[in-house]
Amino acid sequence: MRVNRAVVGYAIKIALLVLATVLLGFLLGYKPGGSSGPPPASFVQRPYIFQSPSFEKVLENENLELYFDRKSAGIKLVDLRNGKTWRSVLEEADRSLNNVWQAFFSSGVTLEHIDGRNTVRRLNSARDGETSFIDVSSDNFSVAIAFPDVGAVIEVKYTLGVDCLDISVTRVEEGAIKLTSLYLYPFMGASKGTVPGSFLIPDGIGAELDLSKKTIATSPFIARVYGRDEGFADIPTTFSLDLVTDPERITLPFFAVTMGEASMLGVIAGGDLYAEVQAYKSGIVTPFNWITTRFIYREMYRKLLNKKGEGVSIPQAQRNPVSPALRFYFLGGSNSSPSGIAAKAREDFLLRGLIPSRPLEPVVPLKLEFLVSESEKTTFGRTVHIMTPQSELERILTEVAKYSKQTVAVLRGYTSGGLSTSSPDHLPLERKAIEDVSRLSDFYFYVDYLTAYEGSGGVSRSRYAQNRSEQIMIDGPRFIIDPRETASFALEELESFSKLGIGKFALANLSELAFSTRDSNRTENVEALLETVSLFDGPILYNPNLYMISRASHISDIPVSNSGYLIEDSVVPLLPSVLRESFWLFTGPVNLTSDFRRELLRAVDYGLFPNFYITSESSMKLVETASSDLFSTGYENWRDKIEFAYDFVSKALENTLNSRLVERVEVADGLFRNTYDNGTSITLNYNENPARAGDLEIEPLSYVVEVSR
Amino acid sequence: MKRPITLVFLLAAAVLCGNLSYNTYTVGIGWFLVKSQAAFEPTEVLYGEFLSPEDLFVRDGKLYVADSGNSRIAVLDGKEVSYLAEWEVLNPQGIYVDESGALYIADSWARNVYKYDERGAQTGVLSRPDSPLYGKSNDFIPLKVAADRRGNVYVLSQGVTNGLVVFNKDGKFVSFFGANEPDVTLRMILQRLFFTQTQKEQLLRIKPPSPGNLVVDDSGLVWTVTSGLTDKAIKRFNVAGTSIYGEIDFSSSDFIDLDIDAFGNVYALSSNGLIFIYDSYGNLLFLFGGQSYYENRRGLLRSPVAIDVAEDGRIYVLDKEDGTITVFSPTAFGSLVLKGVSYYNQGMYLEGEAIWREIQKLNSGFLLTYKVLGNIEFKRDNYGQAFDYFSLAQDMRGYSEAFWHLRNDWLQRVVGLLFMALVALAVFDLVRSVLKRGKIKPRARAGREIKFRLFRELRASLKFLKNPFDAVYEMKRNGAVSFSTATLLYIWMYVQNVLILYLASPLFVGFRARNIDFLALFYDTYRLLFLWIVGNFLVSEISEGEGTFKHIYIGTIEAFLPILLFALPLALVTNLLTLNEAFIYTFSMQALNVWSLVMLLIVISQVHNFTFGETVKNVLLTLFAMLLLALLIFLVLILLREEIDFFVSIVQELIFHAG
Repeated sequence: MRVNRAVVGYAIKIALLVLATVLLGFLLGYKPGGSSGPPPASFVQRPYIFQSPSFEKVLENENLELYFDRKSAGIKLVDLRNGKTWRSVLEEADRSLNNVWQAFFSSGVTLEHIDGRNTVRRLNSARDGETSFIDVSSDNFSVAIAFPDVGAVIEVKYTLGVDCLDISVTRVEEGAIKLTSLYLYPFMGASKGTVPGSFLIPDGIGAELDLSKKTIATSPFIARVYGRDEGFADIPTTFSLDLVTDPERITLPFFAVTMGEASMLGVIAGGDLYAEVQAYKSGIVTPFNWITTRFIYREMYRKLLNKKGEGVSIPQAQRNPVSPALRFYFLGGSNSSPSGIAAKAREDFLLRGLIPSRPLEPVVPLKLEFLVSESEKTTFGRTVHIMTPQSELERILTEVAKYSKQTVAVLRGYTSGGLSTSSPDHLPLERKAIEDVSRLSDFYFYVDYLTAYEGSGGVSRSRYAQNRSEQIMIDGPRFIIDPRETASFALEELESFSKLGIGKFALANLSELAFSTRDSNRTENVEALLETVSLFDGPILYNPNLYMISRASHISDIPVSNSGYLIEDSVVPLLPSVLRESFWLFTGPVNLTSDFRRELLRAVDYGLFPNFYITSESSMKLVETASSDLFSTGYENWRDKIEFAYDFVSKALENTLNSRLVERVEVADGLFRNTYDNGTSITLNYNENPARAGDLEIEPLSYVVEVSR
Repeated sequence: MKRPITLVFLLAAAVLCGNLSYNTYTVGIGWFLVKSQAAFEPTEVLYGEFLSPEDLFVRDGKLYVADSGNSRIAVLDGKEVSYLAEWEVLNPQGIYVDESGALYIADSWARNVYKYDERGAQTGVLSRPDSPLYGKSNDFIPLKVAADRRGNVYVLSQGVTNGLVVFNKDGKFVSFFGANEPDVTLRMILQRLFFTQTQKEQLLRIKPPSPGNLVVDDSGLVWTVTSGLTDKAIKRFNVAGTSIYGEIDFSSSDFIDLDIDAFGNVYALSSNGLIFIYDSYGNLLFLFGGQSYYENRRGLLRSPVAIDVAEDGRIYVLDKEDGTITVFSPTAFGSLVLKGVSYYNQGMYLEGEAIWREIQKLNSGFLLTYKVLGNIEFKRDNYGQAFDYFSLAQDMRGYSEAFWHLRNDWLQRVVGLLFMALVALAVFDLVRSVLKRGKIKPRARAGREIKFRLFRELRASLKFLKNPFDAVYEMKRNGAVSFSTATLLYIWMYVQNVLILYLASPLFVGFRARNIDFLALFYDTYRLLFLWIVGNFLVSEISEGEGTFKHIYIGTIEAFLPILLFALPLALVTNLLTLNEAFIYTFSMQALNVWSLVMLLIVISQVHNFTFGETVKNVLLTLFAMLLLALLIFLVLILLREEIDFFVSIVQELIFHAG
């Protein structure tokens, strides 16, 4: 067969082009697989023989005495007010523990590192550390704990306050072996077996782990403060139904231990962005109950090798900028209850300027979110459904004003084209719905500068956030924008909003999401988001993290439950107890819950104000839109229920405004009594049948208020 | 023997339930799965020191658990637990309790089914039947058991594919019951067609899959569930052993257990922790749940093995790995829906109306609501409203019936007028012709010269309908139809398909026809035509056909002229038809298709100047060539995609590093 020379020539040229491209790629350093460099050094782990600590008193004041053990870096604190001793290390060998756990519980400080096989290993101060005093003064002292096996040194400072102890890591020096995390006094407040006490964690609204009850959970509680860092999580490549919900977030960085009449509050005063709360009950791995914070220096993540999703697990190259600090408050008497703990946490946040101290208007407000318009994909393009035109907005608010003393109104979907074509560009307005924007100056305009629907214009792919595996980050059906870009989007629009007379905003996602990206860490991104949020004056925020809270005027979508882990025994309303004196706190949309009446009862129980997501048109029009999860928003269906909800909640909470919850007790099965510092008590019945509490008869799913005169 | 409580109740009272660990889905408008309010929420997690429990059963407020690892049956009554058959059973895998309190235990290691009375005394044992009907090759390893009111015992035995093993109340083997059909795939058929005898003997015999679990409902009917099947995973058998349960639209191939409540609703559990709730007609009501890997969140299941529904509507799910029982209680919304469904399934439409109106208010996307409301309005003779509801529900039958009534009403209103108009027209025409008799001269028909080439060629195309032989000749020899006119006809084919989807009745094109995927439609319209034209050209070149590519291109589209001309009008006519008159449309379309096919054969034979035999041979070869072409294109596309992906990733890396 004769070969055509021209064809051969073309074939050769194509082959050369392919070869050149591949070589170019390699020359530019494209190298699938792990990082280059020599493998990390390894060492033989030391054997551990338990030694009882020998404590020496180092600091004291009129309330507290602090003891320190040089060998283990363990501490012991004696509360002179009630005689309670808080221990942070095992003082006797425990045969129920193996050497690994014995060493861990005998050490004040434990470091984790990566060995040569990318496995996480621990170094304990008792077994592997060498502790020496650096500095001692009247109310503080510092020590250096060296870990010669890995060439690491950490310096820890202890400051004794009137009722608290600050422990902070002031310096970390690491050697050839990379550190991944740090435990500071993990055994502080620990106990063995079932004891009369509890752990409190602000998981969602708050959770109590009852230490007097045996647990059926086989897994501990482990959760990152402010939620998982999605920058290190893989994005699934295949579509599947969203079956399992995300657990609730820890938005306030603290935890607590109650032991009878004494309790200990652990506030994560530094390194909260990289902190993880862990709680174990007796029977989970060991017979001990313990709760602690792990500070993360390096995350493990999966580096993808190919488009099929195959990859290797490797640690971060750069260490996170963590400054671990814990402040332990020691409480007694009535202050040791969950309400007292929440009050103390609030006091700490006030002191540090993290939440504002300001009186609230003494009214019970109602919040209404309106969906103005939404678009639907049709055969030939898109059609816009006007769900709530301005005339209807005004009519509804006029009606509501007849019974609601204060209504906070938020507008969504006011952008031309509807809600799903908005963000991060929210202008121009949908003119078919908005006749005269000057009459809308009292409304809060919902804006989202952090996520964008795929169909919305104005965002090029280069401005999307990428995770460490270089995948574009998503939040459900929306792409996540790089946090460092959000301020520019916001600035561009604020001027235009201002010209329209719009100055009030409800900010989505900016205060809730905290994550790393491919080339920036969580701290940098949170700072960028803070910068963006600071551009707005008193916005409404949606269940914000602590670092954002001070910027809010009101807070919405407060969770009414915790994550529901089996290790959690009950709900404790820690979150509203800390925040309700500084902010109006609103529930999530009550009309989108499965049990309207029970949801209102929870609102009364936790001191939250009702919130509805409403349209003047039937939500049937939304079934083929991106807002199809709004299954019931029609105002005509909810008109009476909104009035009922306001009446139901306000009759209870108007007696508790600007007061503090001092006690919450379960008086019987499904029957709770809340007592406030102004003497008001509310008894709530969650049962389907009437209940009796003393002389009180409470209707099913209802409450009775007793006001002290 | 009763013991003090060893149960740890994690009483997650109503207070705990707010945001759940799982989403709940239902079927929404458009027949998509959409999120809904929670229908059930986990209110309790029970733990009783079970070890690898395999089954549970709820009767009269008591919970029976096959605590297999501990070789006993645990009975939970309130907060007390007692044990039955301790050390008398080896590995209880299935349990059933009848109305009298008699307990049946399927013990797979002992290979027996034991019967105990309510006092815990053993009253019977069922072992492998001796009957020759049972079959020598069938072992007897009981895994699950159930009984009906007559005392018949149904045993699910491992590896027995003939169905459930049925014993009468005296303990004698009666028959097999409720077998699955073998799942024959195309691959199996081809293997059996082409393999040699020796090769065939190597193949496994085609056997149906065995059911995974069974239950007997309150009316005495036997239900089975089979893992690995999707379409007919859940079966409900009548006394003749025929499955009478409707087709399920949203099913799973991972079902492992099911239970039926007092209203005939089906609760099916999948191995990944999902709970599917269907009504008695197979309509999916709710889907919720999920799997827990390490988290231990309430409501998520790690290794679920059994489900049971109590008389009070609560669902109990047994988790083997955790040794826990999660109790799901209906929410206010869930209770409302189930109550409404109970009215609907009993045909009490009007009695349940208030409930369904309330459901519509609470969830305007809940599809079943519209089906029910459609039936309600239909009963009230509000056919217009019923029509709208059935349209939303995409209920073909209801839509058709409501449409019939609307059409009937319309006809009754207008038929009189129409008749009078026709009569008036006829009278007018008669009068006109009488008055002008003798005065009208027949006018000579002048042949009009068609100036525009397009119209000329389109008119020439019409000849294909009357006389395809001559038309082909004109096309070949005189160029009566050009390449561009033929292309316009091809384009019209696509446009017509779009119009048909948009304008035809939903009863014939589906309720979602207007959501047109234009690219997919383009592909569907032209792929076979493209393959045919290219394939026929290549084959004809080899077999020395006279036709050129142009002739084949033009001839092919002309052959489809009947469809090009009449399909759209037919589609418009469908708007006047009900399902009962569907034959009019179907028959007409089939006639058009046959007509086109015949014309295609004629065109091919005339274009290439083939005899009939040669034409048939040519067509068969063309079909084969189409298959090969399709395969080739498929392979090329795959390779091309890999290449494009490779270059794109290189370029992206270059951009990233350059940035």
